[in-house]
Amino acid sequence: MDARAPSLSAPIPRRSAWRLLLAEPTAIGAGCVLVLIVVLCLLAPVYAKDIAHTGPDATHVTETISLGGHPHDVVSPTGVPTGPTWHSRFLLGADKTGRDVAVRLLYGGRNSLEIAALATLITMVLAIALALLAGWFGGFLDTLICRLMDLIWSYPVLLLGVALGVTLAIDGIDLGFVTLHGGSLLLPALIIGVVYIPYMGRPLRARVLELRRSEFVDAALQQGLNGGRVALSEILPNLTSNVVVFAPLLLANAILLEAGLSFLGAGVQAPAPSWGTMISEGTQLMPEAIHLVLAPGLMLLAAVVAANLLGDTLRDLLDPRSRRRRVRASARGLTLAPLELPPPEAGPMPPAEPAR
Amino acid sequence: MIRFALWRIAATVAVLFAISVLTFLIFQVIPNGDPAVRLAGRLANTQEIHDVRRQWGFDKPIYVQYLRTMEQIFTGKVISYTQQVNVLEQIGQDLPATISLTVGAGLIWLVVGIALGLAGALLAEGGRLQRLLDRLLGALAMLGISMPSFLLGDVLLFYLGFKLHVFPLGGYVPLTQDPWAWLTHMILPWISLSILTIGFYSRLLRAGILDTLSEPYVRTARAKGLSERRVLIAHVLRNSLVPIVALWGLDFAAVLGGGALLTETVFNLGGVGQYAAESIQHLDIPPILVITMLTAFIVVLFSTITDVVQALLDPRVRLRS
Repeated sequence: MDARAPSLSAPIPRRSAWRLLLAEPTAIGAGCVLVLIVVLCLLAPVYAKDIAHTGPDATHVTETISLGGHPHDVVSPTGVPTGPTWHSRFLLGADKTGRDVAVRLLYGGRNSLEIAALATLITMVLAIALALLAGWFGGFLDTLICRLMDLIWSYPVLLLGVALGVTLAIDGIDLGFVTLHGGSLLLPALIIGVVYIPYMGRPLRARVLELRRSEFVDAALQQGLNGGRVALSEILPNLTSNVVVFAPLLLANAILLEAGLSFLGAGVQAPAPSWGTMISEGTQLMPEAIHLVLAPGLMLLAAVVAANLLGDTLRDLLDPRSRRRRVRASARGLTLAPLELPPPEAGPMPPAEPAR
Repeated sequence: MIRFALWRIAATVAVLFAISVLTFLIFQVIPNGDPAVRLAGRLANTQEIHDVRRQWGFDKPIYVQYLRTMEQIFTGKVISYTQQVNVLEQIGQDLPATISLTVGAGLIWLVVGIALGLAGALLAEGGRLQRLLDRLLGALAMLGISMPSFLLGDVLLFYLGFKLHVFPLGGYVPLTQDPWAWLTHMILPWISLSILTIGFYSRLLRAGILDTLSEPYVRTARAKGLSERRVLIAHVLRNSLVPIVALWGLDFAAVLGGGALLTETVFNLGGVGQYAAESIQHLDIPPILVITMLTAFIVVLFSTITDVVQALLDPRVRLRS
């Protein structure tokens, strides 16, 4: 008998997976931070209107604010913007054109998160579709899709993203059914979404191949269901746990890649803010105004850490081979169903190529 | 072995071909990317633009342009559009900075990654305090893999460069010119580039070691009376290093081929990555084409090398085509 307790290496029922997740303080904390950041960014217009009394693109170069009773230039005559005031106006200081950093931080966060969420969605939908097509139909289609993913994979992620971003940012792209303009947020989302397809598509395809060989799929086919129907009703639901694990990790990677692209000028286009463009602007004003780098940087870091932690915990809980899952499950007195399926392919998840 | 080598060479050629075609297409489908307009200069009239187009062959069908560019690349005569310098010579000039960055950072992330991974795994098996330390290491690794290199680079530059004047503010000094200046200029880029990979490797290695520790052959090794140190190094670490070696080859190759666009740009190293970033911003196709092909070539080369190393490390891995 295998020493690694095969009776436990089966998929956990969904409800107990939820219960396990809710018993993880890390997961709850990470989830709360993520939700908090999203809510804060969604409230950007409220903050701008009622607290900061300015817009994300409104400049206040020549104005003065009173700090402790003394007038203070928003941007000094030598072009140095004020640092954090910790008051309702210019809470986190101003940038070089006298825009309120806190307001831009929230609006920029909205852009960054929107792009990352959209990109994650695009990657998930396309990766699932391609994995099902390749894994289920096999043959020439499989070879074609695999080679296509290999091609994207062997292309340096950042180079591909920046190349697409710069070329498309000028004129946008006409996809036939929809036209994306140069400044559209959909553009970076689409680029990031496409670039990360192999990251998720390749393990999913391997999973589909495995599931295709399993008995319940045979049974469904024997009952006379047609192939496409079986793929959708038997295979697709069984990909859920893989997809659930990938989603937060993809989100984290997408936020990072968006920042990298925007930093190089190939993502969100000025004057629209995003965390990446804000860090880039801050870098240019470096020695005088580090708050321009720190404010978006720390926000970005918090969001990415939270998403990564969530994904990590989920993987530990849902991966049949993980130690933590076994420990937690037995600690909570859950008995896991006997082995129905071969465990997913050995080895940890492939790393997404980082933007460095 | 010969079949393996032939197969790898064929695969390399195929990858290079596909990547060059893809790059060419990406930049050709853009309506605004007409290189003739940029080559002719800002004040050119229609006739001049037309002449440039004819002279550089932009009026030819796209496959003719592609073949011409490929011919220029392989004969070493390819000229960039914007600055009109020989791309291969420019890359040759930029290469020392990139090699310095890659070799230093690659060594750092390998050594520190393995050390922290091993420490984490050993601490995880220990008592209460040790497990707490392990969790701390885990949290640091998580922070590391979540940190964009340019953010870390900015922060390091500000506090250690601008504020404390411990390190210079970016730029590259050749090793042959002034070894000390070279070192001080490279330390911050090395750190910024390594942190992410260190976080990743240490987590991967820790998980691998913990998995391996419960393998029957480790029990056997202990049962036959080997010292714990020998079990760890000869049996556990050797096997857990297999995936790390594979990853290290790819990461090293990606940076060596100019993949560190962000780090090189933040520290103004003037390496291949920065050249790529600048070329992309000017839609300068020839350098981008050459650099992507260079990266792909180096990645394929190193993945072949790591395959061989893996086969040496792990008797179960066989070289296959």
